[in-house]
Order: sequence, then structure tokens, then C-alpha cells
Amino acid sequence: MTQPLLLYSTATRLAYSVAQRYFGELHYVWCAPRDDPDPHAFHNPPSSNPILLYRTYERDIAGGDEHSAVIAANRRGIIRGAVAKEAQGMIDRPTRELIEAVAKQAPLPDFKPLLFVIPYAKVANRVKPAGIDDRARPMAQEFIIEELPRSSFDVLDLSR
Amino acid sequence: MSFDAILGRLDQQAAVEAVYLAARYLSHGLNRTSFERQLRSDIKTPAQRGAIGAVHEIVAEVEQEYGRAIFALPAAERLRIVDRLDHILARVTGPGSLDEAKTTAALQALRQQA
Repeated sequence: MTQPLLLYSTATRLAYSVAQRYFGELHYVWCAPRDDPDPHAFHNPPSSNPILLYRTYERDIAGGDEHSAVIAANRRGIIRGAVAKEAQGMIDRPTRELIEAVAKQAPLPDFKPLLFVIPYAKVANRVKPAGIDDRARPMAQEFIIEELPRSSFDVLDLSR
Repeated sequence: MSFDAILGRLDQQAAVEAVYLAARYLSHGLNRTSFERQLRSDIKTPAQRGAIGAVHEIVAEVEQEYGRAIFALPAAERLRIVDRLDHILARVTGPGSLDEAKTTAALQALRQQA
């Protein structure tokens, strides 16, 4: 399989800011290449499609959906990140508790989505295949980057 | 055995990790193979070893209760189970000793960052 030119990842403003401020500008991301416009090509499942995820955040925030599954997952992910960074010694316990409190209390608008655009060449040595299990779509692609430096991607706010 | 009992045996770090991983298992409709494949690529935390055992217990509990594999459950049902886990997570992390003013100030500072 040829290497993609770019990878895309949808984050939230809150998760982005937490990583910038507390995690040394290192971002934990799940990312994927652009979706192939050919309807007959292989496609990632919706949960692994950054653009669909971006639109889901937008829809849930616009609809005031306090039970949004994607926002709940983001809160959970921020809390997990804080626990992991404390275990690594990057942050102390009071900072972890502060991040947990912020993640739990932040209102919906703090979860506005951002699209990360990541040149594959800059992260080729950092990407790990996320192992999508979809036998109907064996070419589906999704990757995890554990520590993506801010200098390795652009951030787009598609609402502007 | 309830989720509370499974998660109650873990320390706070492992409980957070277990809820995160179990929620991913459920919301993405994974199976054991795909879950373990994802784990191999994911970050490794000291809390993960205990957490993974708890995730398998939670999955077994759900599959026994519904008589079906996780991936065969409707998405809405899987998300209802995730919601139950989130309620436990809120208790596990607790209100902490932070006052509301400190949290609000931190949130304001983060908004300036974005």
C-alpha cells in the first residue's frame, strides 16, 4: 500500500489546549488518511473517519446534546491522558486533579472540534497502525500517534 | 458481579484506564482480537495490566447479561452501558479537593490557549 501524503485527526479545543499547556505540546491522536472519493474504494468505518467525527461534534454541540457520546469519549480521553502523564512524571497530582475537574465540568462549547492536518513524512517513524478489525474492508487505515509534537501538524477550524 | 465490584478492586489509575478501554471496546463494537490489536499500538501505562483484566470481566458480564457478543449488540444499547461506566468513572475520580473557582480559572486559561 502506498503511503498517504497527509493524515487527518479530529480533536477538540479543550483536548488541544490541555496538551499544549500541560503535556509539553505533545498530542495523543488517532488519525487516518483522507477518505477516498471513489464510492467503490475501501472506506474506514464512520468512527474512524476524522471528517465524520468532526461533523458529529459540530452537530452535537449545535443541538445542545448533553449526552453526546463523542463528547463523553473526549472527556474520558482527557482524564485518561492526565492519569498517564502523572504516571510518567510529566505532571503532578494537583495538576492531574485540576485537568480531571476541567474535563468533567467543561460545557459543550469547549468541545468544538479542530482538524489536525499531519504530513505523513513528518510522523512516519511515530505512527502505529491502530488495527481496525473490519474484514469487509481489509484496506481500512487508522493510526495512533502517541506523542505528536505541535510542530508536526497544522490545525484547522472549519467553522471559520 | 456488578461493574462497581469489578472496578472497585482497582486503584484509581487502573479504574480510569479500565473505564476508558471498556468504553472504547463497547462504543466501537470490538471483539477480543480487535481490542488486543488496538492495545498493541496504544500507549502503555503502568495501570494497564490490571485494567485489561477488568475490561475482559466487564465484557464477559455484558455478554452474559445480553446473551450476545458486544459487536452484535445495537449501538444504542452499547452506549447505554458506556453511560453506566461513565457514572462510575465520575465517582472514581471524585470531586477532589479543588474549589470551583480554581477549576473555572483553569478553564478560562485553557480557552485563551486554543
